[in-house]
Amino acid sequence: MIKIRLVCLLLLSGMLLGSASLASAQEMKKGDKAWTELEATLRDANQKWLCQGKYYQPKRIDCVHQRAAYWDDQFFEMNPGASGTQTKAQMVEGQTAGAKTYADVAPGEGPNPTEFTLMAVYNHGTFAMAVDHTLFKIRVNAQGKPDFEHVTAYVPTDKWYLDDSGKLAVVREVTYARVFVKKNGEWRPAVGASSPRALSK
Amino acid sequence: MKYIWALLFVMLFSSAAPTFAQEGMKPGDKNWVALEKQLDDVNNQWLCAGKYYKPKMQDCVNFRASYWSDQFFEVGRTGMTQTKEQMVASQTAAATKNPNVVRGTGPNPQDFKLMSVYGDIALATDLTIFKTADANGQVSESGRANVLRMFVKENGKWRPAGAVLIPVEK
Repeated sequence: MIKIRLVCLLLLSGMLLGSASLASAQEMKKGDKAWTELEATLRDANQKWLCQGKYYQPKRIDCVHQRAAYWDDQFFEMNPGASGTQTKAQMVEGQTAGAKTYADVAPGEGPNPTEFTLMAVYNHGTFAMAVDHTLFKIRVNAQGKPDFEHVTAYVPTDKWYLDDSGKLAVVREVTYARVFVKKNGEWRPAVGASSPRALSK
Repeated sequence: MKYIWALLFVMLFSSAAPTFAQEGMKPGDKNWVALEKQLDDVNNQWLCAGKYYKPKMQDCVNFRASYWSDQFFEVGRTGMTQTKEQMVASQTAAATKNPNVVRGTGPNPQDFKLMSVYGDIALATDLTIFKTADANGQVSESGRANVLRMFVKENGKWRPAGAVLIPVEK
């Protein structure tokens, strides 16, 4: 009888603890402290994903290696144009090939995320969906125009403008959905999907 | 002492079980194929497409308002992000202006593909063909987009959680 009571007690404890842990993670609401803190954490994870700011890597291949280790195994990305939908393996392969052709990256060159906004949190606080406004920048040549000859993945365009530094040209802008999963205590990129938007200037 | 260990085990199991309930599913296995089929159907419901066609646009908007997760959002083909509330408001305005739906018009999803599963979250892609009808009711394509479709399982039911539309040039 004592054993039956004990088993019941254990099951009840488990149920209560399980539901309590779920409830605590799902109590997060847009704008509250936990939400704001998670948004800041993921903004930093986004910078790491894109090798921007303090995560800048002068050698393109170093960024590719970091991404290969950082992206979740199920990671995939969707972009406009010929690249379409690519798995993690396809992304790493394409970016590795690009890094062999154009090895160096100027500070600030590449995708620059702004206006990072956390949109939704699911799966008991282990899955997050966000959006940002990403500006794609490339260095300018001696003529003061975008140097399309020394970068990959950019279709040459005559629509561009200089950024505030005057050293980089903004050649493309998109709204980027950035989706993250928390595994072993670390937030990692799970999906990226971008939709083009008109240039700001 | 052994009861303390048992209690600790139950505590650990209880907190981990919901998170990993659907982990372990692999692309191509039976569970994956079954979930892909189920979500393909959810996708058609979401878009009031195929057998879920609704002749009145407002009926589709009302259905979506109850079907979408509360945190639902969408990035449209022009890069504009809208919350569920904004989507319902803009679609209600459109339904007031054009209340009737010609069968086959609107978003028509095809090539639905489940890409990843994380517990109660599933991420998929499709190619959505947008169609409109002219004054004679003739239906033709007006555009297409590769779409990221995000789903969440809430209270045992899969629901749309978000979408990102990436326009495809003709």
